[in-house]
Amino acid sequence: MGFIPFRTPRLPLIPVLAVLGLCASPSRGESSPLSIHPEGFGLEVSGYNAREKGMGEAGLASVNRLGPSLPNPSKTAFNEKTSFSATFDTDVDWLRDSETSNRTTAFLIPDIALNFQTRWPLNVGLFYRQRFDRNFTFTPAVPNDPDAIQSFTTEGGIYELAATLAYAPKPYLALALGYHFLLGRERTIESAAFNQNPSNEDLFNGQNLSGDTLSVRSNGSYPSVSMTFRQKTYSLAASGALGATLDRTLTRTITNLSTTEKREESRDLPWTVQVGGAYKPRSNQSVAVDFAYEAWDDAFSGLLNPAFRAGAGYEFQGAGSPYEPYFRKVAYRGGLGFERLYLGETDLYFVTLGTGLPLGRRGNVLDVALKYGHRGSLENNLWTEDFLKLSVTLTGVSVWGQPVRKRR
Amino acid sequence: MGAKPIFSLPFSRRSAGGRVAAAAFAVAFSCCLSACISDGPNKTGGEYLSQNGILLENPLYHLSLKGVPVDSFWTTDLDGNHLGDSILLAGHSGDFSAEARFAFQLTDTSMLDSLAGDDSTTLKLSLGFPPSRFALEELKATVDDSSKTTQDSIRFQVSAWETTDTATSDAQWAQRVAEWNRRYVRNEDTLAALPEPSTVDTITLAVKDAYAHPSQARALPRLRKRLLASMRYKHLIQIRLSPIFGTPIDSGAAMLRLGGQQGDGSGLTYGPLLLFGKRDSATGAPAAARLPTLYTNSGLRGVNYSVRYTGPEANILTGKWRGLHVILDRKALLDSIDADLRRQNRTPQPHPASGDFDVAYFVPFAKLTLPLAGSALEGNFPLEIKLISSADSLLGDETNGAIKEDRVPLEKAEVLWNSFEPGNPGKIRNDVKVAYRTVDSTLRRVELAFSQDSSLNDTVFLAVGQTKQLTTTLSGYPVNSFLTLKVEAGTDSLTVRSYLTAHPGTEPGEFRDPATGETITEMEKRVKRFLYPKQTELTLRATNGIQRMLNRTRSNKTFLPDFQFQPAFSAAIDTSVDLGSGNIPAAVPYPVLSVVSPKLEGNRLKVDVELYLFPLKAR
Repeated sequence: MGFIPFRTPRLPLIPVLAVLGLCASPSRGESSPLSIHPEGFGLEVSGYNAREKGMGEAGLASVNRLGPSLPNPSKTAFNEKTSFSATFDTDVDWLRDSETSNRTTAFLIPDIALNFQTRWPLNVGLFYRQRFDRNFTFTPAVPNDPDAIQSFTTEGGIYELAATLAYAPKPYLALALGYHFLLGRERTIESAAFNQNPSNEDLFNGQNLSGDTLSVRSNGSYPSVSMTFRQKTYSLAASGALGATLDRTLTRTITNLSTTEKREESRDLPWTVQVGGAYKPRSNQSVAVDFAYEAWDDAFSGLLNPAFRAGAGYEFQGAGSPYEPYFRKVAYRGGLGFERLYLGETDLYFVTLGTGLPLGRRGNVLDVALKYGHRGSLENNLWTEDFLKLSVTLTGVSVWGQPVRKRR
Repeated sequence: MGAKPIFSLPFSRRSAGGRVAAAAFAVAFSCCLSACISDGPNKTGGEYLSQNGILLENPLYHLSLKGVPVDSFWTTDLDGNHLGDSILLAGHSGDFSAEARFAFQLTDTSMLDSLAGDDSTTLKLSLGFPPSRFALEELKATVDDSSKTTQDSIRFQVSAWETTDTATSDAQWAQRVAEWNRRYVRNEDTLAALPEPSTVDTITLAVKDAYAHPSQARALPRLRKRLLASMRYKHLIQIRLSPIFGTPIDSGAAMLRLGGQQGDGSGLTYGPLLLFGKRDSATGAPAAARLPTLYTNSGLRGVNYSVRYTGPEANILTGKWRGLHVILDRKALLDSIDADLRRQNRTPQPHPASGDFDVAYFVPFAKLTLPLAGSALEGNFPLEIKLISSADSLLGDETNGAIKEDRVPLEKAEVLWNSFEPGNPGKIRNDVKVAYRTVDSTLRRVELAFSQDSSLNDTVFLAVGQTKQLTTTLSGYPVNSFLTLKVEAGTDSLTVRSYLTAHPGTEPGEFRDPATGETITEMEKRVKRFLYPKQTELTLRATNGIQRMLNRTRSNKTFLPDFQFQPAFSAAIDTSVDLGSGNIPAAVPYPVLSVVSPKLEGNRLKVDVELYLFPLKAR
């Protein structure tokens, strides 16, 4: 009798498909005028999967022993199986404007994660995540000057690769350490068409500014730590990350001029802290609350401000018995939240609904969340924006990579 | 116990706490949803973008700068070699003069039999006058000089260099033919640089009704006599047709368009021919009596011509393709722009103190206007002039933007430039030398020698005090770049001024139709933008050049932003062509002589610059 370290891996079909989907998909997320600000990095993308998103983006401390968790890797130490997850976001955004229609749809893969269960109470997590997202395109319906029709596009974001190590020294306590690498690819393109006005013969035969393009490449890294304290009816969790310094290379080109000129600079991402609590009034119900804080300051730009988020949600878990009808096994969720974004003291209110659909008997699940949000700038009150976002997370569990007993 | 519901409710109906929680959740959810749906400011995102400086409220500045001083200007002759051209120029008109060159090889010695006898007119040179399908009347008019005095005739000196295959093998003969063709037909050697001709004849060509007949044949008695001396050998005959100035009185100015490479068979009537026997014209002469020009190694017939111009050096020419280079000073232009903006109560954009690029503005449109002192357009044809924008890398002085100037002592050779392997700028491919040699007390030889690409070697002869312009290419620099040399022969040294035209690009000449948006390609709609007689200024688009000049801070430092007013290859347009379907403008197919004189104030030149500026954000 003996052990071999790992079972021979079966084809991880779903993770492979998820990665292929990532490669093929356009990298776009929420469309918002907030993306325009060079002082920022675009909109921050939630690290939660669709389960927590359906609970008002709360659930830091809600342990379900299933799937990876990027906001709180420590709770994966309570998992029983190796798991993976991939999340897909699609949303419709619209500026509140009665004169013009500025609705956009967007699609994003915010994260893909793998969490390996080892023979010890130790989990290794590997994550891809989009941390920030720039996505906004605008061309005014009525230009300021008929000779110069300007338009603006920004795209790209900050992407993150992370590795975490989660360990449960006690059945009620789990700790995790993580290290995160940031890679940024952002672009803003400002264009102007000058040849659209036949009454100006000169400019009608002029050249357009096809793109005053600023490309930013950046990289950086930071460590993180998290902890979960679990009891039968409640649990508490906290996670935090140190700030990171992004080394950025900025390249600018305009039409007919390919500059090789580059500028180097560094920008800071702030430290963050997040706390959460979860209460289980019954064995199949959970109530979760979260609070997160990001220490943005205005040292670099007055546009930046400390950001925080508060969310609360509820989950009714479906029956776990394989003999129950399918609809009894479905989970239902709801939540709401408030967020002060880090740019321009913009407030975001949102409500969420969600469900968890079991897939087979192994524990695989498809979580779906719907989020309706409304945000606007307090500072100048020049715009407000609504969006409706659909998030889908596919979570798969397996014994892949786990130690198994050797068969005789 | 009843049946279980299909959908299980999240809150137990039997639990009081659950009911309270459900009610609280429902209320909170409704409040939040109503907050989301409440009205916002109902404003476009565009206003937000404007406030953040992304959409500009005043996106365009329109400036019209009058009398911008030109930092420097000069002209470049881009007149290519006319070897094998179908139309040749010969004669003189105004400050233009043209020599035609022909090469004949007589291999059928039986043709010489018809020269025997006492009749000195049994060898004739036949020259063709092909009628033009377009602009024939104007062509006839161009044989008149500017004084409009109708000329009856014009006299030419017919110089002939003749050699035979006496005591030579076939290979030696072929080599001699190739060498002679290269020297006498292909290269533009001056008469001073050539040996004494074997024979010199004089002919007179009728001018007034030149194009009424397909050809004119004139006797060459001295050449006939020379050929009779070697009846049993092959002959190679190089002929140069040079106009005789001044006398007699009836040989006034006239520039004839002669047939050159006019094809084979009956079409040879219009090409230069040697007629053997008693033939009055090429028409009807049997093939055995007609000797057409030979084919050179390049497959072209051995015909060529050279045009010279003795007028002011700053003039733009057609017939001889000469363009005017205009160099503007970037800093002076920026100062003018800033001053004009302040007059408009606008704040000029700041310019970077360092770096290679200045992206304060994008230039969507710009044009240059060159004031003209006058123009003489032969046939009153409108002319198509192009503006070529380029960056001239100076190869030498990259501090103050001066043109590279070198001196080569007599009997010395010096490496003045290097060319590089394409794609490998660190590896020298050629050392390019210029040697200056003595031919005699008044004549010098300039040798241009490439250490590897010997096919680019060139030799020119200059009388002491003479200036000549050469163009060549240097590998390893941007595509289409070319090196222009202006050499001045001194008694003891040669002065070489050179500049490399890099990244040349022709500014668009087409315009879009405002009604349809389509690019105008029909000639009749385009000709209104051409240069017409009596026009006092020449305006051309210069968008790309002004863009490059403003956006690159090293303009006037490591390179010169060059605006070249260059006549199109077939510059003259006939607006009155009638092919049976109405007037359809068409390019005149023969070389037309035109002189366009820029308006100089003293020795200085000013231009007008009109441009639009789109301010770009600092980013």
